[in-house]
Amino acid sequence: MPNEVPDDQELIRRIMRGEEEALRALYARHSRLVYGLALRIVKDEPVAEEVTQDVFLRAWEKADTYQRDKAQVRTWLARIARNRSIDVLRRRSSQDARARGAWEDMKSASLESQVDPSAPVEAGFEQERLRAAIAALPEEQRAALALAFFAGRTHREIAEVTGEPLGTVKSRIRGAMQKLRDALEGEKGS
Amino acid sequence: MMTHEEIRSLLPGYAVGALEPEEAREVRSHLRGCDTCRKELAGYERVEDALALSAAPVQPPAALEERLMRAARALRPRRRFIMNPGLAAAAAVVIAVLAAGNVAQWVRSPDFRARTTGLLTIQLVGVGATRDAYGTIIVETGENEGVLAVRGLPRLDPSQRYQLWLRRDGERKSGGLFAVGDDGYGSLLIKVPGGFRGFSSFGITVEPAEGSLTPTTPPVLRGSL
Repeated sequence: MPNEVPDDQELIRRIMRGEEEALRALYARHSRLVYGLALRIVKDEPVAEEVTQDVFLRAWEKADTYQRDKAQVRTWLARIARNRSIDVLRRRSSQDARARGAWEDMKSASLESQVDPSAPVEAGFEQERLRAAIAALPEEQRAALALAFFAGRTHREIAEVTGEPLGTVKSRIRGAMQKLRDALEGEKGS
Repeated sequence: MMTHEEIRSLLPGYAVGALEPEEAREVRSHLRGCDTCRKELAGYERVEDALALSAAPVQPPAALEERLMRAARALRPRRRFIMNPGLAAAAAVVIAVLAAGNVAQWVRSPDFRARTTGLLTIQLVGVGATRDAYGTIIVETGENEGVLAVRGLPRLDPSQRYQLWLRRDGERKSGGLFAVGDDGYGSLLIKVPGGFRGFSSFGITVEPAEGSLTPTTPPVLRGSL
C-alpha cells in the first residue's frame, strides 16, 4: 500500500471505486466541519448527526457528481451540509413555529467566524478576511444575513418577523453580501 | 417577468437561498441565458462558501462514524470485506513470513501453529514450470472468510489473472482472482458463499482477467487438506 497521504481529490476517486477506507478518511478529515455547520443551523445534536451522516452518504453515493473545477471537496461538502440542514429545518417546523423561532434566531444567530486550525492555510487567510469584513458590517446587515444564512429564512420571513419592509430586508442582505464579496475578491491580484 | 436589473438585485439573496420559490425560478431561468449575471453570482457564491466554512468545527459523537460506515456498506456492495481481527492478524503474519521467504520451515514450527490455532491452513506447492512458487491459505472453518498469500509466481499479462479454485466431491468453486506484483508476491481475500466446509483440494490457474467458470489451464499451485 502506498504510504503517502492522499489528497481530497484522490479520496473522492477512491470513493468512486467503492473503497470504504477512503470514505472513512474523508469523514476523519471533514466531519467536524460538516457537523459543526449542521449543528449551527439545526441547533439539535441528534438532527445534526443525521444531517452529517446524510452528507457523507451522499458523498459515498454521488462522488461522481463532484466537479473539481467548481469547488474544493471541503466546500462541496459544506454546501451539501448547509442545503440538507436548511431542508430539515424547513420541513420540521410549521409556519407558526418557524415565525416564533425567528425571534430566538435573531438573538442567537450571529456571524462570528472562527478560523479552523485544521483548514488549509489559504482557507485560513480567507476566513480572516471574512471575519474582518463581517465585523465591519452594520449591525442590521449582519443580523439579516445571519438569519438568511444560518437560519435559512427567506426575505419575506425576515420581513414578517422583524416588521421591516420587504425592500429593506432585501437591500440589507444585498448590502452585506456585496461588502463580503468585495472583501473576498479584494485580495485577488494583490 | 422581471427585468435584468431586478434579477441582478436578487442575486445575493439567491446565493444564500433567501428567495421565494417563484423568485428563485425566475432567477434560474434568467441565469441560463445571461453570462453577466452568472459571473456576478459566482462572486456571491464565494461568499456563501466562505460563510459555510466559517461555522465552528465540532467533533461529532464517536458512534456516528460506525453508523455511517454501516449505512454505506448497506448502500453499495463492498469491494473488500472486513476480516475479523483473528484472521487478519494471522494473515498479516503469514504474508510477512511469505515475503521473507521462510514459510517452508516456518509452517512446521510451533510458532506457526500457535499463531494459527483454531484456523485451518493449507499449503500450496508449485507445479511444473512454477515449482519454486509456494503459497498458504488460512481459513476460519465454518466462516466464509479466508486469505491466500503466494510467492514466486510470474507476473501476468494485464489481460490475465490468477484464479483460485476450491474442490470437493467433483464440485469446483472459484475463490477469486488476483494478480502478483513485481516481487512475485500476491494475496487474495477469499470469499466463498456457503463456507469452506468440505473443500479438500485447492488450485490456482491462469485465466482471463474477468475470470472463468471452470479452469482453462493446468494449475500452477496446488494443495490439499
